[in-house]
Amino acid sequence: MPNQALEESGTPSSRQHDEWIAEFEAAARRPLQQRMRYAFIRTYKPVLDDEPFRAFETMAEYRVWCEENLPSWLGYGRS
Amino acid sequence: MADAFDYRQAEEIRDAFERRGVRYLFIGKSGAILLGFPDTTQDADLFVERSPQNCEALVSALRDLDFALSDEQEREILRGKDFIQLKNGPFDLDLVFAPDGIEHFDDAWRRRIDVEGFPVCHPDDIVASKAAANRVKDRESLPRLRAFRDYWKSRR
Repeated sequence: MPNQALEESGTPSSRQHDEWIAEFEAAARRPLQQRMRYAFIRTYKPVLDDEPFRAFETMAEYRVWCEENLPSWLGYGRS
Repeated sequence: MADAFDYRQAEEIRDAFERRGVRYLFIGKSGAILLGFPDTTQDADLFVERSPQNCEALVSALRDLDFALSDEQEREILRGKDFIQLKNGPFDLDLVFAPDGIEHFDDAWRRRIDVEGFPVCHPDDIVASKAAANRVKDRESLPRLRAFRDYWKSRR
């Protein structure tokens, strides 16, 4: 998970990296069905979840739409 | 709001798409999760080949899965727009016809990984796509995803 040191450097500390490997090892021991049960969650995302269908001509158009319409805290923007 | 995506629904996609002959790959975090990446996400992202025949098969498969597509929505899918968000079915689905960071569907198809019958983008392609998208949430998740990619490769 993101931490301050990681955000500043983009490179995990060796301790952080070891923790990730332990998580990957633990996940590898679980069957796919179980992994998926805990991986897919449902939380409401404002604006994004408010329309049943959206189509964008280009990915660039979609990215601009995200920047202009979604709350920044959702993380869909580029800055 | 649809329920959370689950294994049974992934199976339904796999089976419906196979019956209709749809060429697609799981991509994004949902693809990484299928490969074993321990993380959370909300919906499934599918990289779909953009060809008239494949888009027609896709529409049929989506209707089989009980997505309520209007005629206009059907036309947009048949046109193979770059990105389509579906929240009008039993689960949420993002259809990506031109993901950032991947040049051609055929390249990704050749590199695909089969996970219990699910066609999944190679982790290199998932990482490339996230890196090219370069959203805040991608930048936050990329170091851990890259570490997973390297771990996954070391076990092959």
